Amino acid sequence: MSQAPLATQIVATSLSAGNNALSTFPSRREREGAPGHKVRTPLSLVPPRATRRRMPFAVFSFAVLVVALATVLMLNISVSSTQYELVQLRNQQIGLNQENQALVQKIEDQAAPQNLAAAATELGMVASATFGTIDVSTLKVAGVPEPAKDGNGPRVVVAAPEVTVAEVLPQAVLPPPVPKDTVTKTIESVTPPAVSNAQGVAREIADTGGTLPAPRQSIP
Amino acid sequence: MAKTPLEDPDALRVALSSRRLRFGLAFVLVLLLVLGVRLFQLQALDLGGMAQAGLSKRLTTTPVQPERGAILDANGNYLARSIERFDIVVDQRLNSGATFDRFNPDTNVRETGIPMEQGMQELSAILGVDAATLEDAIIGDKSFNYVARAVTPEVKNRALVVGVPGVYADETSQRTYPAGPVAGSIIGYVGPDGEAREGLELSQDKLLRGEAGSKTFEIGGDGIRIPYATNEDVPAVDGRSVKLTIDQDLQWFAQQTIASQVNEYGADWGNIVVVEAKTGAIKAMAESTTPDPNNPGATDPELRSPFSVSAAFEPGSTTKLITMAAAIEEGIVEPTSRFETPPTYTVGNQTFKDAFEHGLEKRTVAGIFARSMNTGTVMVGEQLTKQQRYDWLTKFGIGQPLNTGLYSESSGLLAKPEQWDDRQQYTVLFGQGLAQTALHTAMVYQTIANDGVRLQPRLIDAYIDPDGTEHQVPQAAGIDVVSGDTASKLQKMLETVTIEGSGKSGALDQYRVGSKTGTAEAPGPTGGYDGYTLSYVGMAPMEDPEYVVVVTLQRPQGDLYYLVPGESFQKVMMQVLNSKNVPPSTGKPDIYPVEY
Repeated sequence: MSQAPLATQIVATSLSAGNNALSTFPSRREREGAPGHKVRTPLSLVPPRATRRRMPFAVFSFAVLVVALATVLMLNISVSSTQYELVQLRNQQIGLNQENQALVQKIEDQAAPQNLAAAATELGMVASATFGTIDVSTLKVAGVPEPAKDGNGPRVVVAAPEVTVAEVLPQAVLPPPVPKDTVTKTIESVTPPAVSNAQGVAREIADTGGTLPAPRQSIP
Repeated sequence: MAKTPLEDPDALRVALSSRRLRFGLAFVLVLLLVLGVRLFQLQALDLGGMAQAGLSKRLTTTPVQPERGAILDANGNYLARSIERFDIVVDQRLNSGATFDRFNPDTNVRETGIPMEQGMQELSAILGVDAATLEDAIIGDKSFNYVARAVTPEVKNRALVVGVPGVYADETSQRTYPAGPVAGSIIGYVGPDGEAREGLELSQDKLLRGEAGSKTFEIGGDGIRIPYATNEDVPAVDGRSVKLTIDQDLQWFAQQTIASQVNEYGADWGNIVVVEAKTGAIKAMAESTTPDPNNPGATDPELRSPFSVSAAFEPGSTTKLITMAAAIEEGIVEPTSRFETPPTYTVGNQTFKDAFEHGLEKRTVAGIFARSMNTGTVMVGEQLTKQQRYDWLTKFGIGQPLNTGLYSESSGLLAKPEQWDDRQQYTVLFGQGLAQTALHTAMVYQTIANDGVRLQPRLIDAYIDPDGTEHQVPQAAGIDVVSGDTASKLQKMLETVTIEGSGKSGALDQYRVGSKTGTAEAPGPTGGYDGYTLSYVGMAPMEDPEYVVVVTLQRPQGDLYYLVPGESFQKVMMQVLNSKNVPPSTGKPDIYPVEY
């Protein structure tokens, strides 16, 4: 029984403090002119309210727990799936590197001096035995250059590099089965690297006399 | 309000004091203790090593191979580099069945019951290996066997799509030499096992190789790495690249030229060395036979080495330049000093004659040099003491190491003067009885072209870090061999050789050329002399020499009169000057009188 005034005190403080404080409640009672000792009546109303408050708190805690666990789970899933994505991207990087390497190799193979010379000979180019020089400062021409004579071209004594040049495949397209002889070519002896595409372009240039338009000079 | 015993402290005390409850509580506590101890034992002590076993099952350490450095020419063209390749390998224990299943990525359908023969045929078409050989490689009970080595990524992809069980790919790196036989003897090669075998690949191996790293991580059952677990990464340190002074295009041109001439003359071998006079940089070092490092086995092992630095031979008359330099620098003669040269000249019981018949001739020193007379050269050179002769040869680098960075290089042979026999003491004056390489010859002429300052030959221009930082190899300080005045006199004498003497075959239309020819007797394998070594050394343009070219032909067949190494010199020197944009000479050749 000695607990009762204490409970009233607690209720009184809880009603007038905190977010849910019913600030108008005591003042209304006073306006109605009720005697101060009848204040016990609202005490019976307090427990349900307190119960209502306690229940949401448990739910809230539980919800927080669930949300926290879910977050950790999601985080884990996302990290794991990023790991898969990482592997995929790494593979893509390797693929692109390989493609790039194959392209660079193709260029290098065509830039090898003996291949270049062989390609030039095939296009009908001959090395000039004579040359002239122009001194830009004095505008003097030195030497008596003659047009290069049509010859058999130099004999090939330096063999072409025996390099296996990888075919270049576009990324992300899985390779279709191709007959064996078009897969890789070990370039041998005289023939310049037989890369059909590049040679086609080269021939085209030779046929049309180059891709740059000839200068058009007006004759006075 | 009803009171439960727990709510009432007094009641609680009563309950606890009950024996039964105490006993129960003790029992629970003991159980808890047992569990706690067991937990501690399992988790903290790991006596059975189970956690460790699990970890080591997940833990994977893979080595990370460093990328081998490249070898580049002076213009940054790759002469050697590493590329990614794959070894197709098989775990033979996994393909015992007669049929297999595979997933077809085109149709997204799982194909079942494919006969093994079909798989072999498909693989054979892709790998270019016949089906029988392939079967030998794939069928068996080994856990590891090679099916095909160093295939391109593209072939690898297609081989794996065939889906023969147990067949997989291992990443590997292959050395490739984009320029092939161009400079092949200098570059050397890396064997199929990844070990360097010859040339710069071998001598620079430590720098090119780099340091392997490793990766340690935990891997799950699905082969994907477990995040938040052990992760140690020791990155590999890639090898450094080596940049040479060689110009790939010039090197090819020189190789093409010397190989043609060696073929034409049926010579044993020949080489051409191009050196930049003011830097000592070797621009080309061409052999008549050069291995393709991509397939070194195709070349005779004897012919794989860079003869320009490895083959020492008796140089012959090109050495007369050293004799003249010594005599002029010592103040014994001047280029215009007069000598009466008889058909044969005898000194101390040793008789010397010239390559051509002549009577008593009145010649200047420059004239003796121009016609390459042994008689006159001995008359000039005998005024030097034996020690002086030796010292002067040494000053010009004869018998000294070249230090180009190639293991196969030879220092040549120069015996001490006290070991010289009666004849050798005179023959060293005109290049017999001593041996040197073509590069030694080139550096002798470089000394004169560079106003008397001998430089170390440079083959390695710079080292390049993996991040691209270039570290230039510093040029060693030059050695003052003769004074600038003597050097210019010798240059004038060399030009006299081109205009009035034996060097006419190498003259150029637009440039003033200084040159010297050499015809030495070549010792045979059984002793005695059985052939000739022809050489032609020249420099241009004479107003300020920039390049030195040495052509050497070993044992060409046929009459000496028709053997002209000067032709190769002409072609190569012209190409060098033209490609390096050296302006044509202005002014007339400046020469000495040859007779009086």
